[in-house]
Amino acid sequence: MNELLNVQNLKVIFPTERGIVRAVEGIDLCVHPGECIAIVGESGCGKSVTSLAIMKLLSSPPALMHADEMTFDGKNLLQMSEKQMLDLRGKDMSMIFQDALTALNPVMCVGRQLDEMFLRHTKMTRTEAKAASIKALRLVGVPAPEKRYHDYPHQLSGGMRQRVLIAMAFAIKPKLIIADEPTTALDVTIQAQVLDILQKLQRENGTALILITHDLSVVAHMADRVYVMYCGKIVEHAPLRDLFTDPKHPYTQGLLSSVPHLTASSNRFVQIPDNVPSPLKKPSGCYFHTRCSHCTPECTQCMPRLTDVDDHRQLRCHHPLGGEHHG
Amino acid sequence: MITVSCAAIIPWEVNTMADNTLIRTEDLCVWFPVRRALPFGKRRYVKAVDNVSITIEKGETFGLVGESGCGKSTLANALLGMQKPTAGKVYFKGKDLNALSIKDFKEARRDMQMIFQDPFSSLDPRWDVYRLISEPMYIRGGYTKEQMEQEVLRLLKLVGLNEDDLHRYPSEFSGGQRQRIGIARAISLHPDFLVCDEPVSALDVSVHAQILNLLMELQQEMNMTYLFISHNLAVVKDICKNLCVMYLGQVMETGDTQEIFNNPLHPYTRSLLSAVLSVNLDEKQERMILKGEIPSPIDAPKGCRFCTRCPYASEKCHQETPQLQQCGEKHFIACHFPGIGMEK
Repeated sequence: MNELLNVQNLKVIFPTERGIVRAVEGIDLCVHPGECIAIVGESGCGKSVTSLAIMKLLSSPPALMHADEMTFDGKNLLQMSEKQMLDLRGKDMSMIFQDALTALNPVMCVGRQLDEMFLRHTKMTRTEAKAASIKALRLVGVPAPEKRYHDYPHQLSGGMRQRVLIAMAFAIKPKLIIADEPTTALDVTIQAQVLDILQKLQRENGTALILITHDLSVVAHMADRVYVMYCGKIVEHAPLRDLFTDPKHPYTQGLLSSVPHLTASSNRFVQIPDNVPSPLKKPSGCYFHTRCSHCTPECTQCMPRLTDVDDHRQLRCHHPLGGEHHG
Repeated sequence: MITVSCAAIIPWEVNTMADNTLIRTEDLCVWFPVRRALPFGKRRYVKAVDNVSITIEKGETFGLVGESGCGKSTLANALLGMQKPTAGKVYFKGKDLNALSIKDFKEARRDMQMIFQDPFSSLDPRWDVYRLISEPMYIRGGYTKEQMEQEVLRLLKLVGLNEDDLHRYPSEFSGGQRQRIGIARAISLHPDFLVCDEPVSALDVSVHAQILNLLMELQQEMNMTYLFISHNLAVVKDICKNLCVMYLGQVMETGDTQEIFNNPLHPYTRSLLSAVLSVNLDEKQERMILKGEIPSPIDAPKGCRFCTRCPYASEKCHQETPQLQQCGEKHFIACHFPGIGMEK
C-alpha cells in the first residue's frame, strides 16, 4: 500500500440534549503522497469535523469517534497516545485554519509563534529558529519578513495572517497538510495570491494536501481528486476533470451551476432549492431527496449505496445523471 | 479598438438633468483624523472616501466593487446619513441629506434601509424573529398589534420562511435563513433605497444564488433601488445596471456594467476580473494577479492611488492624480493610460 493516509468507515457523533448529531457517517478517504484532494460541501455537512477527526483534535466528550482503520504513513493513528500525536502534529501532518485571526495567539508576535514550530520539532537553538522563521515568512511572500517577524497578529492584514499560517504549516515540511477553508475569509484578489502560494509550496515540497472548501472554483484551481460530501456522507468521489465535465450526482451539478460565472450570462442565478436539513432531523432515504429534482419514491425510501462507477469514481445515487456536460 | 476621448465630462453633470435620480453625491469626502504622534505634529487623515461623485437612478441596481478597506462601506454609511461627510453633499430625492431637520431626516431614513454582511452579528441573539422583524414598525409606530403580526407573517412568507419560524431565535437558523431574516427586517417599512453591503460574502456559494434571486424578486415586486456592494465582480455582473470600481477611497472606473465587462480599461478592474476563479477547466484565463496588498489609507500614495500595485505605472502616475474622464458613452475612468497593456 502506498497511501499516505487511509481512513476507513470514519464516524463521528455528538450526543446532545436534543438528540444525537451524526456529523460524519462512515467515510472512506485515501490520500496518496504529493496529491491534492478536496472535500467539498455546504456548511454543516461534516467536512471540518472529518479533518479534525483525522488530526485527532476532537475532544471526547462531547465527540464520539469511531473508525475501522485510520493509518497515516504506516502508523495506526487510532492506537497513538496523545503524546505521540503531539509529536506528529505540526511535524508530519499540519493544519491551516480558516480564520487566521483566531488561529493565531493575539498576545504573541507572529515570529515567535513560528519559532515554536522549530523549537518543538527540531533541535534548533533560538537564533537558528528565528533565522528559519524569517526564511519561512519570505517563502510565503511576506514583504520585509525581518520587520513582520515582530508584528502582532492584529497589525497584519487578513491576507498576511493567512500567509503566516501557511508558513507555519509548511515550516517543518510535513507530509500532509489539511487546509480548512483557507481563503474563505479573504477578498477575491488576495484569495488568488494565497492559492498560488499554497499550490507553489505544495508542488515544491511534494506535500499531500487535503483542501476543505465549499467553493468549487477554488477546487478547480487546486485539486487532483474531489470528494463531495452531503449531510455526513460522501455522495460522489471522482477525479477533478471527470467531476467537473460530467457530474453524476444531482447535488454536485447543483453546486457546480451555483458558482457565479464571468462568461455565461443570465438574468437568474441557478440555485439549489431549500436548505441543508438539520443534522438532528435528517430525511429518510437519500438525504438529498428533499432538494433533488430527480427524486422518485425509491429515493425517499432507501439510502443509496456508494457504488463504483468505474475504477476511479464512486457515486451514491439511485438515478445518476448521464451524458450531461457542464459548461 | 479602443477609442478614448478626453473630454472632461463628469458623471453627475451629465445626469443632473434627468429627474429619475434617487440619490447622488457631489465630491463626497469622508476623512477620519488620526491621532497625532506629537502635540503639534501634522494632522493626518484616513481618507476613506475622497471626492466621490456617484448617481443612482430610481429602480436600478448600482454595483460598488473593491477590495476590503477601499471605502465601500464608508460610502454606503455616508449615503444613509449614518456618517457625516467631511466635505461634499449627499442628495436623496433632491434634498441635501445633511441639511435636513431631525424630523425630516428621520422621515427620509425610513425610505433607506440596509442589509448587512454578517448575518451572525447583525441579529440580536436574544430576540426572536417576530421581535427582530417588527422592530422597525414598532419604532415607526401607528400599527396595531394585529396589523403588526399580520405584516410580519406576510414578510416571512415573502422572504421564504415559515410561520413556525416566528418565535424561533437566530441561533436556530442557518446562515442563509438568517440573511433572509435580515432582508425581511430591511424591507418591513417599504423602503425606496436598499443598501446591500456584501449580502452573500459570509454565505456558502450554494446559498449565494438563493439570496441573490430573492433580492432580485423583491426588487421587481417592491420597485426598490439597490446599492449592491461586493468584492466579487462575478456576483455583480448580472444584477447591476451600473457599476463603480473603487480603490483606496477613489473611483477608478464607473459606468454601464456591460460596457465595463466588455471593455475593462482600468488595470485595477482587469485585475479584479482575472481574480475571479472559474469552474470551467478548459477556459484559459489570462491571469493578472496583483502583487502586494492595498496600502494603508493613511498617507495614501501620491499621484494615482493605484500606482504602487499597477504593473504599468510610469513616472506620470506617481506624480499626477488622474481625473475621471469619459471614454465611452457611459464609461468613465480615472487612469492616465486607459486600456494600457490590453491585448488587441
